[in-house]
Amino acid sequence: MRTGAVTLTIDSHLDHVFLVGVAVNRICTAVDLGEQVAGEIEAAVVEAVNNAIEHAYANRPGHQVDVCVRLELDCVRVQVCDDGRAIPAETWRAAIAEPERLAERGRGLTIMRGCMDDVQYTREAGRNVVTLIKRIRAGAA
Amino acid sequence: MDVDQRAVGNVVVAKPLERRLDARSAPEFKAAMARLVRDGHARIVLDLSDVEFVDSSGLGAIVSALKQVAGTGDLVLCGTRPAVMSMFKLTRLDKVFQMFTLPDDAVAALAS
Repeated sequence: MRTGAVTLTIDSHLDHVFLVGVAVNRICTAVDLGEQVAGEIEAAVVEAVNNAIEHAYANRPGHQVDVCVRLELDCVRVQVCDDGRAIPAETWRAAIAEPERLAERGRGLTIMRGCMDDVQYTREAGRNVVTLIKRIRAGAA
Repeated sequence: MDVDQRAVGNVVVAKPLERRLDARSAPEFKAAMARLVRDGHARIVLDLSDVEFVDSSGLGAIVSALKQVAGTGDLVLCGTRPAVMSMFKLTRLDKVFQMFTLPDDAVAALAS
């Protein structure tokens, strides 16, 4: 697979999330990851960016969300970074649990984990960083 | 967001005319579905054939619509594209909703 990295930045408004979703999807199909894998990566990235806007920034526009897409030899690594409030460890742990059958919220992390091989939340230099990794099978791209 | 509506007997087929049912469009979609229920429609076929992308907010809005007709009627889905279907499967919502390929089959199931 071709390697490289690009960082996309949007303002913290839900109206803009589709821009990174569509861009990430297109990058992934351009390196022949296939529609399904590209769609899964897009879905995970959209959830992480939505979380940054809705939770870290409490839906306040005027803040930055950075999405760094790194194509590596054996994986796609996406980092979604914001400068909003930190996510308490217990909140992150609780979000891993499957929501109730008819819950209207709480499926974001389920989607991220289902679409990616690894999902990590870290706090780095005062920023929230969600790292999403999709491993690429040898010969798949 | 525009939601096309077509009545077939006592069933209404609601089709969101939007490619992305996401955090941006979900509130409007939810409101449109609530209006439909308020107008007395309890048997609803949600035709998702134009929807190419759904996120957790979009799924939540569809669940909300189901809950609004629960007890009085039903809401079933049709025309789900593969990428959208995979989100239903991932979140196990494919076990919650009855799904059909064609709108006519979905209408027949609700009308009977």
